[in-house]
Amino acid sequence: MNEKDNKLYGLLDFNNIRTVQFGLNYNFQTWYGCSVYFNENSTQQLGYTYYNEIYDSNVHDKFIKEIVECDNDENKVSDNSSNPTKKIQQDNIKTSKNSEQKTTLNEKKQHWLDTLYVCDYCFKYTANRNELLHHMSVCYYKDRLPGKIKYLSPEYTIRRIRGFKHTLFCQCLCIFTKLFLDNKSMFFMVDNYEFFVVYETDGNRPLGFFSKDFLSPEKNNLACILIFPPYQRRGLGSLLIEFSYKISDYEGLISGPEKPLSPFGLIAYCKYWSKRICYEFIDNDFQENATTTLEDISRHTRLKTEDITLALEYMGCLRYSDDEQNGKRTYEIVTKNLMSSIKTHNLKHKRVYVLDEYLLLDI
Amino acid sequence: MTENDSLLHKKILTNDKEFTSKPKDNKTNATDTVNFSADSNNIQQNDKELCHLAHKDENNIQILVARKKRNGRGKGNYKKNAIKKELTKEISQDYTYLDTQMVKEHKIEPSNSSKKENNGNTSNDNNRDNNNPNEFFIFDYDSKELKPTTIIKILFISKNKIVPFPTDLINKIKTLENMKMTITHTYLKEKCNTKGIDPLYDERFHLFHNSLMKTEKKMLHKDKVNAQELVEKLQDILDTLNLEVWREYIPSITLMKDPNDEEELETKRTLTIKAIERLMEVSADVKKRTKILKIRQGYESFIRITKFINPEDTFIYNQFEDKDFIYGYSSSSDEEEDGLKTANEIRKHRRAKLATKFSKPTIVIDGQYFKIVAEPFNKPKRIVTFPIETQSRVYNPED
Repeated sequence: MNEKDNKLYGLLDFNNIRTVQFGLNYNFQTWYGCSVYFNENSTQQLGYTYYNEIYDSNVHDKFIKEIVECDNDENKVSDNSSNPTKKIQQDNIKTSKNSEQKTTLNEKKQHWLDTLYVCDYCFKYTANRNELLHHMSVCYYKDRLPGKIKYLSPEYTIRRIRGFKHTLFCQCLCIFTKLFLDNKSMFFMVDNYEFFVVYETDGNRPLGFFSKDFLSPEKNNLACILIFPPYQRRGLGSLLIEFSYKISDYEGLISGPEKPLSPFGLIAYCKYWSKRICYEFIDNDFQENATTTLEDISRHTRLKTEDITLALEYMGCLRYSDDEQNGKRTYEIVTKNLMSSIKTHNLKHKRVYVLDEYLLLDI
Repeated sequence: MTENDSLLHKKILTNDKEFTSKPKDNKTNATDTVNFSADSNNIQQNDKELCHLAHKDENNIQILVARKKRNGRGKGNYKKNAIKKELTKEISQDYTYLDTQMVKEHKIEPSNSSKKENNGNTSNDNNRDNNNPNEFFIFDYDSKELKPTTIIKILFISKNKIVPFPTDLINKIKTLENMKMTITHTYLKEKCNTKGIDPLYDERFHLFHNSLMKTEKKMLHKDKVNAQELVEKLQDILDTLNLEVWREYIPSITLMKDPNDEEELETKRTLTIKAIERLMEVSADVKKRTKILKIRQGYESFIRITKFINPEDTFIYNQFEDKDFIYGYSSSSDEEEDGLKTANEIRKHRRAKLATKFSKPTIVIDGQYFKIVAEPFNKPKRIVTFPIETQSRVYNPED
């Protein structure tokens, strides 16, 4: 890796991993690169395999090698796997390798790994397909879900997992999310964080999560949020966002997410804030031809003032006029735009994702 | 400051491109816009002033480029963005841990009103720039900004201008169009090994993960050290503002329109004291929460902390954010609740566990039309009971 990559810890401006095999059932591309999976001295190997070879050769015991290599199927590195779809992709890689030899600059911007195999129970990772397949049958978190239940509905369960209790699980989860989130800088120091992971109530596979920094100076109620790609478009993001605000309501805080937000997070939050504001204006106390302040709205909605202004701008219902004599500016909220934004942004302001009867925050 | 330099400043601020002065050295200038006098004595002063002015006015970055090229510092083409980053680094070097708080509350970039004043009163600004490098509290907000306390009218229709959604965020949302992903369904099968050995056992990852954890710890430690230094600085500033001679020091701490105006001095003194106290509270709160975290991790015992809550006290009949402060409290383990299927069952199980441990009853105080119910680890509730109605309604004390 370059010196620049070391300075921007974990960040890369290109995808260094082409695809991810997520458990047994899903294979998809990544959105962003992640250099943390690799060691700075070797981009051809995963970091832990490199370290184990150099520092302790007995760690990868012989009997594990026997298990992995005794299969009649492919026992080589993932580049040469027999998946038919990958054959096409291998040709592409060969041609690209020829071009790599010519130019040294392009070498660093090619894929470091063709397929990363990730367990969808515990997020442990490997470049060897057989290791994953053997691991999936004996994964510890397959039958014993980590964390304490904080929300239990007939459909979904949310568990709170403390970073210092399930350290490796949280570290692997953080590294995995870097493939889909641009601004993430903390991967291994997870002691300060709490992870709220959502499962199907009868299921054992994590569908998504959000993390919360216990030592946040601004007391943010959310640090980062991700719904894993196979489970998106189910309303799980809204569920987690609402749940995070329930936690801050329980703690008596007016709080919000840590910035900057990712593109998906920005849209999800703008919709959620708009929904909360619409609910207060249309169904509650705020009447027409009255005045208000951002502090009043914040007190009712439990949102930060800056988030409220952003939501009002998103809905297009914040207007201003300048008085040339005084040099002052007056602001207005137009309720007609609130009604129309419910339709245009598909807000469904009366729909509630988190029901109080299923919350287990007080105990 | 020579006369030429003062004129120079005026012209820089008004972006007068016709201004030229003959350079005393025979060095060539890199840009066509402005030429400088090259007194070696005034170079350092001028550079500081230029840095500060360039930070104020983006157009003056060209001037900074000219200066740097002429003096032979650095190579290659300086770009605006690169220079901006350097300037912001100089300013934001000191506060990394609490810098977001500072930037939001105090707005280190000067407001538009200060630019108008600079055209009229260059001498005062120059004195301020030269003598007061530590100034970082600014309370002169733009009057047109939407503050939390500005009164907003609520109307059904309006023909006034819309406050637009920020363009940065619009561009961010547009990037979603390119973020398409194809998810292929694969039908892989697990491979059972007779020995039941996990090839991805935990120890395999420990070496690598621990080494990177150390690098992250170092990064966090640096932030903590910077934050502590900032807290000490703020404490010193607080002490100076509480002296009798505070009037002499406050112009170097906060931005003052008129240092001789006593009303302004007193109001800004109170504002800076409040701002500093707020920041100190934030740092104290973070320290408290680190202690709580250490208790949870088992690094500190309850007894060392003086302010732990005795379960014999009535404080137990309260809602606690952090029950870890309570002597003898332990969170229920993950495996105890595996067989429980509904939220109510889990709630009963957890309450029963706490009741057996702390053995405190629920207190019920009867009234004519209401009851007060106090349960351990919960807020007390008031239940309204009517003699005719059979159902009871629960009111929260906050309503």
